[in-house]
Formats: sequence, C-alpha cells, structure tokens
Amino acid sequence: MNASFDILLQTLLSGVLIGLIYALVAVGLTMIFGVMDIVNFAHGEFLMLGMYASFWGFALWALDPMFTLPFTALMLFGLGSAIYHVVIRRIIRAPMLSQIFTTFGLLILFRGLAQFLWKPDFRTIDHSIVQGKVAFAGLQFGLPQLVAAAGAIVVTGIVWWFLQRTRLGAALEATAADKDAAALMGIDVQRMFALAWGIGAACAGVAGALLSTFFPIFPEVGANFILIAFVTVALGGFGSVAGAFWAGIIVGIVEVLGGFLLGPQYKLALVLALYLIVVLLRPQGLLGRA
Amino acid sequence: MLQVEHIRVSYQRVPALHDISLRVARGEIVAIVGGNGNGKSTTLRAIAGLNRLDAGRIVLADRDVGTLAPHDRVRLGISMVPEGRRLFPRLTVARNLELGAYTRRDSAEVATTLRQVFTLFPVLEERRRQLAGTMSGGEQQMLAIGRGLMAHPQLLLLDEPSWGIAPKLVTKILDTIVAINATGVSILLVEQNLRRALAIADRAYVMQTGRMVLEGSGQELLESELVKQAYLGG
Ligand SMILES: Nc1ncnc2c1ncn2[C@@H]1O[C@H](COP(=O)(O)OP(=O)(O)O)[C@@H](O)[C@H]1O
Ligand SMILES: [Mg+2]
Repeated sequence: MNASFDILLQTLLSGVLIGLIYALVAVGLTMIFGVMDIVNFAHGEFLMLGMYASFWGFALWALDPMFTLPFTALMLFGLGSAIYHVVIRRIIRAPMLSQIFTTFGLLILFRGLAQFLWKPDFRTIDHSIVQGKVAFAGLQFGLPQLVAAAGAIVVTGIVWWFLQRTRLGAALEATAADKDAAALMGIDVQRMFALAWGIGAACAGVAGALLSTFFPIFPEVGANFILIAFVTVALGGFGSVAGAFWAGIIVGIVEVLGGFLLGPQYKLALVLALYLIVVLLRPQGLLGRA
Repeated sequence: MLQVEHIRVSYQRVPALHDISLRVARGEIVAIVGGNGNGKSTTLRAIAGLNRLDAGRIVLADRDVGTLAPHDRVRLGISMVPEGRRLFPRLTVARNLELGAYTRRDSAEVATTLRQVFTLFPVLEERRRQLAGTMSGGEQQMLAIGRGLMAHPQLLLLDEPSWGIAPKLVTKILDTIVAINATGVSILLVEQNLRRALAIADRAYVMQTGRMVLEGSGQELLESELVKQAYLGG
C-alpha cells in the first residue's frame, strides 16, 4: 500500500477517534439546550471536573480512571441536577442575556475554584491501565484514544437507548418538544429539566474521564472543547442527539485531517469555517428541525 | 366536583382574568362561550395549572388545587385537551396516547382505557403507527381528545375542540363529547361554535374581557337577548 495513503487513512481515523469524544460532549450540550433552550457556557467545566475526578481518584487512591468512570458519571449527574435546582431554575423565564450571564458565571466560578483548590498546573495521569499503542493493518493508534472513543460510543448509545426506549426518556423528549403539552400529560417538567442537566453534565464528565488518560488536566481545559462543542451542536442541529453524534465525528475529521493537510495552526479556523458554512447553507443543522 | 372561586390571572402583569368564578357539578357538561381574546383559554389553563393565580381558589373535590403544579392536577383527575391540540407531531399516534397515560402505573387499566379510546375513535387504531403530525385536522383532534382520556380523568377540559376541522366532523366530535360525559366524566368545554355548544351543555357561562357576564342553562342562554344580539346575529 502507498505510504502517503496510509498516513491519510491514519489521520482520518484519528479524526474519527477524537470526533467521538466531541460527539459525547456535544450530546450533553444539545440535550440541555433541546429540553430547555438554555445554552450552557459552563459545559466545558463539567468536562474539566470529570478530568479532575479521574485525576484525584488516581493520585489519592491509585484508582484507575476507567474504574472511577461510573462514579465520575454519577457525581457529574448529581452536580448537573443540583446546579439546575439551585441556579438554573431561577432563570428559566429570564431574558436570554441573563441566562447567558448565569451559565457564563458558572464557567468562571468552576474555573476559579479549580485554580484555587488544585492550582493552575498541568497534570497528567501517567500509568493508567490503558496505555501504549495498538497496531493493525499498518496503522497505529494509542490505546487510550481507542478506549476513549469506544467509551464515547457506548455512553452515547446508552443516552440514545434511554431517550428512545424508556418511559422517562419519552417524557424528556416530550418536554423538549412542548413543555405545556408535556405538563398536561402529567410530566413533572421541572424534574425533566433537572434530568437534562444531570445527563448533560454526566456526558461531559465522562468525556473528561475518558480524555484524562491522554490529555493534560488543568483548570482551563474546558476552553479547548466548548467552542468545538458549540460548532458540533450547531452542525448536528440544536437539540438533536443523533445530529450531535454524527456532527462530532465530522468535526473531528475536519479538525485532524485539515490540520494535517494545511498545518495545525489552521485546525480551529477550519472548524469555525465549517460552522460558517453550516450557518449559511443549512442553519437548522444536519438533523435539526427547520 | 370543580369550584373556581374569584380567580385572577395575568400575563406579564397585564390582567387577563379579573374575577372569575364557576363550578362544574359531577357528571355535568358546562360550556364557556364568548368571543376571541376574552379569557376562555386562560380560564382553562389556570384550572389545569399552566397559568399561576394572582388571587382566588380552585377547589377540586374539596381539595384546594390552585397552587399545585400541572402534573399533580393530572394525578388528581384533571385532564386538558388544549387549544390547537398541542400533539407531539413527530411521535406516532400510539406514543401520543402512551404519553397521555403517563401518570398511570397499572398497565392493565391503561390497556382498558386504550381499548375504550379506540372504540370511540376507530381511526386512531388504524393509524396508530402513523406520525401524529401527518394526520388531518379532524383526526388530530380525535387523537388530542383520546390522549386527554388516557389519563382517566374525572374532569375533562376541552378548549375549542371544533377548531380547524371539517363541519361534518364537528357534529361527530360533539356527539363524542356527550358520549364521554355519559361514562361519568365531567366536562368543561370552551367553544366558539356557540349554538352547538349550548345545545349539548347542561349549563353555560358567557365571558367578556376577563369576566363572567352571564350564566344559565344552555337553553336559557340560547334564548337570552344578550347572547342573541352579540353572538347569534340578532
Ligand atoms: N401567552 C400570552 N401572553 C400574553 N397575553 C396573552 C397570552 N395568552 C393570552 N393572552 C391575553 O389574554 C387575554 C385572554 O386570552 P385567551 O384566554 O386566549 O382568550 P380566548 O381563549 O377567550 O380567546 C387576551 O387579551 C390575550 O391577548
Ligand atoms: Mg382561546
């Protein structure tokens, strides 16, 4: 096989791997937006907290991030729904600008807390059970990246199953579609909002835990992901979980392959160009409602 | 069954209901009639819990429900078929009906209600796999009423069930409302189709700019001078 073709394929698949993580982050963000029309600017901070949860589990008790992952998910779920009850509930009917300031305030709060409590240093988890490389068919991938991508698929699949196949999931979808109608069905809309925040935060937290085995951990790490998450949500269609999944993969490919072909300094520019194209050609996104 | 006492409701501080009182006795069909924008829908929404009360009480079977969330009122037996139907258009007919029974745990009882709904509206059974949004206006209204019945209500609130459907279907819908009432469900009906609403109602209220201006039996109101002049064209 042609060597440059191999490199291209390798790059493409690397894009898919990171894209699956973007997908998971975006699934959480689009869930919150879809159910209650609030943009969560602090979403990257949920990811950051998921990373630190993994880090401290590892540093303090030598627990592997893969082992603590379910607890990280539960913790972030609890945090997300608590934030809904304590903060977001008060601004549901507030003007959009107040909502933006509120979730942006949460971003600053969590970053500040992380800096204060855990110092602004870069941290890494060096000896996870997932480390090393895997080679097949002339291609080579890091095991952490492969495991992270697989984990992202599984968690996105669970969310999808939950929405499609369970009573609570149906209630969540009904709430996203029409809050008053959902309330008239006897659905506790407030509870659904809290559930959306819980699931949204858990998705981001799990993404953070999956990243923690190969990505540096620091208080501002969320910034690396939030912009991409917005692009992904827009590309997939605001509120569409399936859309966010496919869009995440596309964004990952554009970023990694584009960065490879044009130079890494253009990575983010390419993603943002993709965003502009979506907004111009298909403002409702791939799977969004027109 | 239902007693609404001096309620006030406003939208962003603009009052929509000034001092509304009404009652529905067990087994009754009560109609609220009146022109557009007079507060009929707001009255039903307040009873269902979608709009907060500024003042007044809503009593359901001796219990003050005026401060409860809408979903708690569904559990206590109030079900509403809202204006414009508000179906879940991207879900199937069957899924819409399932959501109507969201508060109920006993699946055997829910299945019984589902059979009753299908008996009332056979077209819903034929179309149960179809997306709600792809049906005709009349079929959608049948689904909306069927979905409302799935909660197994004591009191059914119906907001303009004849809105946007073919005239010959209006008769069928109103006949069905009488049939539902005959099974023991009390009904509070908002209708623009005044003559027909008054024909099936035991009692009725006339609303004007957020106030009740007239109350009586359906027959009395049909014969009243005010109603004749204002709504029946002399
Ligand atoms: N969502 C809303 N926001 C602001 N005002 C509203 C809203 N809904 C209704 N209103 C106002 O409340 C009054 C009563 O409306 P409504 O209850 O819909 O009347 P009806 O059902 O009799 O047509 C009207 O003046 C209407 O403009
Ligand atoms: Mg109305």
